[in-house]
Amino acid sequence: MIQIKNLNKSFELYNQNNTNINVFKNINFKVNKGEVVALTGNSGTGKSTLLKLIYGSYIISKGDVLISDINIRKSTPRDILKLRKNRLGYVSQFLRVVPRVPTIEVVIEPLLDIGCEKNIALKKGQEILERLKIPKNLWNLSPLTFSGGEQQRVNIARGFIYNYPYLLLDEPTASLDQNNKNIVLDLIEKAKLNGSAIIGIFHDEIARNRVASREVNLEIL
Amino acid sequence: MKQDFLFKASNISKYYGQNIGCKNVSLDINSGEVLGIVGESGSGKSTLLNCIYGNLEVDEGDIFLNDKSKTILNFTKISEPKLRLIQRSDLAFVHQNPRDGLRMNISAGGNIGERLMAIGHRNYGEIREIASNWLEKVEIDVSRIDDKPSTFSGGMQQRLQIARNLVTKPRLIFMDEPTGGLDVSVQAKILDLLRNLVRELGIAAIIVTHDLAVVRLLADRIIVMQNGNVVEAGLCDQVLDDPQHKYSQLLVSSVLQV
Amino acid sequence: MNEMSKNENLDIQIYNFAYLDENTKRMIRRALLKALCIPGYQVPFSSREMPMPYGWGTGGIQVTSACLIPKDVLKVIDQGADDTTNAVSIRKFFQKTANVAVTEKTSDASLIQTRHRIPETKLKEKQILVYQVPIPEPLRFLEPRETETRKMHALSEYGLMYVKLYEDIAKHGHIETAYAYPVKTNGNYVTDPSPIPKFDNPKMNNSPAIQLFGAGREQRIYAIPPYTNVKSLDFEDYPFEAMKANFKCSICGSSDSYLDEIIVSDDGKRSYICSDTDYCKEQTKLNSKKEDQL
Repeated sequence: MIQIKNLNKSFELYNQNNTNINVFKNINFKVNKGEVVALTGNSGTGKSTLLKLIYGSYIISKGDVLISDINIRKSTPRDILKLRKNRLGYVSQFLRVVPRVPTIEVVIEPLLDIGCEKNIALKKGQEILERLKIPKNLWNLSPLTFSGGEQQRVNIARGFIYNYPYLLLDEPTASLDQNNKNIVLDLIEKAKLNGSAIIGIFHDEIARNRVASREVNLEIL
Repeated sequence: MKQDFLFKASNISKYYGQNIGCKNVSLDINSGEVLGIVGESGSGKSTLLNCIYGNLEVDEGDIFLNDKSKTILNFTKISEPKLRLIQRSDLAFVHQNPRDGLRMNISAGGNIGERLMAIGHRNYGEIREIASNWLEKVEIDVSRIDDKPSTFSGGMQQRLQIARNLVTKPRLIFMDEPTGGLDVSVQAKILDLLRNLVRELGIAAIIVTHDLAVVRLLADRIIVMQNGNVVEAGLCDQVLDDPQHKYSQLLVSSVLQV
Repeated sequence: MNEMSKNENLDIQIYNFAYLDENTKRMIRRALLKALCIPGYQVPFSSREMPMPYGWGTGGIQVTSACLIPKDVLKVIDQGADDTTNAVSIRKFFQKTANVAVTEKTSDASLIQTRHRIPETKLKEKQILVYQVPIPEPLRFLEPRETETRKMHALSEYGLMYVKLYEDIAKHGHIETAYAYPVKTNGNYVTDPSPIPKFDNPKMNNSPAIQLFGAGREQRIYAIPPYTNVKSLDFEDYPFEAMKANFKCSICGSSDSYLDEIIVSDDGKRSYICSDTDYCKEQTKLNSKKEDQL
């Protein structure tokens, strides 16, 4: 279960006249196993920020984020790294990779990090790339030259190759055509059935309605 | 003291007369981790690196290494011969300029083989085979094994330096601007090589760099230095995405986006 | 003290025994004792100005001078020969300043000073062999800094030495070094045997004689006490080979001794003869004895 308790986030910008930007205050909600919670609210309400706070990429100003029994605010960097390896996955909107690394290697990295044998990892990588309809002739090329949609699918492949019990998705279906959207939504549903607790941002209402168990609107909270 | 760390530096200070090289810096690292030390020129990061490697004498502080037999060694207290032996076998130091870390008038094979010969390898055929394997690993054509590094490109020299250092399977590698001075396409190759080696060999790496893009791709955790002090430390993506300290914010916001 | 002879030339002088003053000899002997206690270790000593320039054997001469006693029998060889200019000069020097008996027979000598060769005739206990050494530091050509080479010896960091041998094999298919081939003394220090041909290296191992080495210009003394293990550096799969020209001496017929190559005619005809002149003479004698018996 993921628990968000009285979560506040603000940014102090010291080099810009000490401006203080308040993103949100007192966010409270829970996500159970097998649930997909969709974050809604207009641009700037802090949806991506919330995901980043849970993932540990942003510092929590006030409040708590609990993933199972782990308190993110009280965790050391090492604890969070361990969590990200084995239990907490994150699919962002951007594909950030080392240049010139082939797509297949990008995708299997999470498996190699947890000690999966390379042959097995490669098989799984091929499976998921096939599923996401990435053509075989692209597997040995760096994804940095791919189209937006292809890059997004590589990102998805990397995020879903391992069954994370907790998954954060930031616009997983943006830049995808309908066919590919459905494939990704299938993956999300499968993860849901597997018992993962998922928080996602979906701008596409239809996509949202298809997979979300419920919605949390950050503007209202 | 807890035994489960690989390497730890506590309250390291180094002064140059009145000037601070570094002050009160603490860090620690375990196997399979990559720690980045970032800062601008003059921040003290290279001084710090050389201090914790044992090249420079510290004025204050301790440096601990958990050696292979699970004994904790204090660099500031062990004898020079012992320190030099550890530096040659258990640690590695990759210099920014490969010429500082290679013997330019010795062949590539000889450069890689030197550490092996220093620890007692006496079979020419074996040494040559190990050297060839490493050349392959760092993607240098094996046919160049008898060529001198002075005939190599900068990227090749840097990769040779890495091979030379890793041949004795050190558990901790120190790198001073490993990709500085290299063409960007070459940098990418080396970054990938380093990441794979860290994962495959389980080694730990401490990398000093002023290039935030490099540190983002390589490091798990980073420390930010300014004028010899650590101003911020934490998860790499957290420090780069949500810097809390004024100087870190300045540093991050100054990076040009491509 | 100068004393004018009544009948002879004005410039006859009386020297202290073996030329050096007693205090200098004491200093050198201390260095020699230290050197014998640490086989292969280079002991610095205060090299004196000698009446010949550096490069002409001053190191060897100082060691010999410190070791000589009146009843010694001295042999001096240069590249194996007793009759080259240098050997003759040095022998005469000690005749004049020490008035010791001299010989060309290796087996009769109690002290042998040599440049760049070890006598073929096996040495015995109580014989002293003094080598003239140009560069005492075996690592010098790889590492020019004295500060570094001292550390390398202190810490037994000899990887670089083997790198040199590795490079030879990589380049030439075999270890190229033909003389001054480095050895490990007593399993500890790597030592330069002086520019003797590598053919002579095995003679250093487990020798009954005392081996002393003097480098005058570089101001170093080192030593190998009797019956010390001396092993030439090599690789397991490229073992050390004591090599020499594959010919027989054209004077005595020996196929076991190190040979000098001589050009005997204007059209480049070559001949090989023993480098060790005393050995050659002995072999020739033995041969004629054998012939007489037949």
